[in-house]
Amino acid sequence: MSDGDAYEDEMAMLSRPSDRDLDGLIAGRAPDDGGDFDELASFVRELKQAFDSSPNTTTEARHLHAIAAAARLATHSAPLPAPTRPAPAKRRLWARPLVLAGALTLGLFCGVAYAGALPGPVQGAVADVAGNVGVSLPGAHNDKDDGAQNDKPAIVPERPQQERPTGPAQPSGTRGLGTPARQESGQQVGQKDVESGNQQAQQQQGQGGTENQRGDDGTNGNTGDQGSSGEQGSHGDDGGAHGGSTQSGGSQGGGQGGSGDHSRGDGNPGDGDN
Amino acid sequence: MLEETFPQVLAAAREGAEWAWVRLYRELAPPVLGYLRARGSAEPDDLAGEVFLQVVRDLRTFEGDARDFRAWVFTVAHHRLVDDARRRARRPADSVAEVMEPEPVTEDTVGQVDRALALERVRRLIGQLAPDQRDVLLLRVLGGLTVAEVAQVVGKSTGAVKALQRRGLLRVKQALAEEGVPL
Repeated sequence: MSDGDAYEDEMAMLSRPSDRDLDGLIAGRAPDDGGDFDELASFVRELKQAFDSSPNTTTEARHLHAIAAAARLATHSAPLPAPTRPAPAKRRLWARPLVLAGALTLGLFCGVAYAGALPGPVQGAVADVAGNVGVSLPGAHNDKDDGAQNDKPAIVPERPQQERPTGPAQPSGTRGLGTPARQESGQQVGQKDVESGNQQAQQQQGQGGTENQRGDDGTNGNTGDQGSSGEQGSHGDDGGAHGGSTQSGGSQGGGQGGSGDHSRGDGNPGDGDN
Repeated sequence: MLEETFPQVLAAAREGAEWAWVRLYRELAPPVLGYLRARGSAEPDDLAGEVFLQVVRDLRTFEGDARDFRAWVFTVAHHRLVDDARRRARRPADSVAEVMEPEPVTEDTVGQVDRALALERVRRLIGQLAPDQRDVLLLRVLGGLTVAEVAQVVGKSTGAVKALQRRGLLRVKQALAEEGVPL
């Protein structure tokens, strides 16, 4: 049976009117054999009468005026072309190679700039721009300078003569007293110093050279030793010990003075010969 | 009747002939306007005007006979009604203000009151129907559409429309019996 909220005698009502009866009811006619539907048929007629009314004159005139204007517009105007999708598709088609070529060119340019192979001014400009955003690229001139320094590591650029300890401050005999072993030791020390860092040696050159100049009596050898690094001074001390000279202080000064580049002069066999 | 001369009227309407549009409008405006009113449109006259303007704009896409044209016009009206109901649901204050506008008073006050009472009763009975049942009954009664045409308008199968029609009529019958007052 039906639930409590269903229509009363639902099954009987559903089975009673046929489709033909329902069509008659929609038209406002009750079935011939069913007096129960008279009220319903009357309601349908009332419904049709209540709402099936023509618009008033004012509304009809307004509507017809608007319809006529729209009809003229629709007749004289060409059919609006539908929004064509092929246009943007074509635009994308020929834009793709351009985007690809642009990306390829940009990548190639960045690669060349990273390798430092761009022309000088361009490389410098690119390096400056990249440096502003925190990316370090080789500059146009720095690379050449760096390369030149690396090509000749044993040559001291722009070395003034006063930095050389071979002046009157250090007797040549001191070096001449050095044994070949000392000379080799000095040479090894000089090479080691070169490898240890040119910048520190350059900073100490002036001090060491000055000390060397003042250390011709040998008493200032420690001062020269202090001017240089202790390790370098010990090498010079060793060299002086090997040399057996009482002027080991001077030798120390020489060794210290050459702790950077000066030691190279000490260790240079040519210097020793001189 | 429009069925007999519909091809000529349709061709003239496509050419922009004003007489053809007057003929079509006067044939279909009353049932369309009645359907819009019965469905509770706040501004049925304006909505009917929008329906016919859309019919004018889309006439080039229509193909069929007079019955098809009628069903097509009601399809446009039904969709316009649904859109209007959705739009007004988002703006309830506006719709209340428009509904409360008083209607103009005429000399036939008694007759108008009787019609107003009868209309109110019909509205109340229709209001007891489910929305789908109400749409089907109104399109069948006021629009004069067949079951298949109503199915096309509301986007349902003919079987579903038949079931809705049957249940709707029986629901009205039940409501009339509960009232105990014949119309």
